[in-house]
Amino acid sequence: MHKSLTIMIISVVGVFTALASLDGCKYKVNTNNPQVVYAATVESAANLNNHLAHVLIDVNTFAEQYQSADPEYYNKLKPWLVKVAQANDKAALAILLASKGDTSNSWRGAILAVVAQAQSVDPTVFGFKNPKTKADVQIAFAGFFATVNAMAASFGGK
Amino acid sequence: MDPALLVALIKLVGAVGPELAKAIVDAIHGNPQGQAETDAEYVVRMNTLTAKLVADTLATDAKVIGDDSGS
Repeated sequence: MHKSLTIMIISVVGVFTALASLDGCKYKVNTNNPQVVYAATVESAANLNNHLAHVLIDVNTFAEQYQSADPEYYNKLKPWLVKVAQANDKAALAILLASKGDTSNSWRGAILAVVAQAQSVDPTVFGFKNPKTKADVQIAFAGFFATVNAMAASFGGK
Repeated sequence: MDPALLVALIKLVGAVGPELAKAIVDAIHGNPQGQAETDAEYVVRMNTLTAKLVADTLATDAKVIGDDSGS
């Protein structure tokens, strides 16, 4: 009985000795490493930036239907959406620079500019010919503004 | 117990220990493929992902900007 117990203890000690002999943190990400945190933060910004680009495609498609149905409303939306896309491009390039070692943090300012541009127009404020259109617009832009708000909350304030 | 058997068992534990330990560490740290990743490798992977996302963002934004007829 004692011998069996001794063998078990030796086995356990052997496994833990082997564990201790492994190469430190090789198999995990050390979240205290500033370079790791920075790379993850910048990648997260790139993700939201990319998400906004795809949401922009959706609202742009939504806006296109008004080109003939309500040109005045289309002319309100289209230039604004283009400016948001252009600001999003600038943010994307700033994020890319940040991932390549630019530590000026200008990407945060670029994201703030996207947020400001996106919030400069309220697409629901318009003298719609069809009263139902306002509800459609609110639904169509819900994802757009949710993404913009997420960008502001996550990266705009610092 | 035969001392020779005990020595043999200790040698066996020593031999399989590192592989077993690696499997345990991989399981704990969510690396089921057993793929090791250092901090530096993680940073490179994140930066590669960022570059891909930026390329897609520029291409996607271009679809909104490119067909602009209203500005």
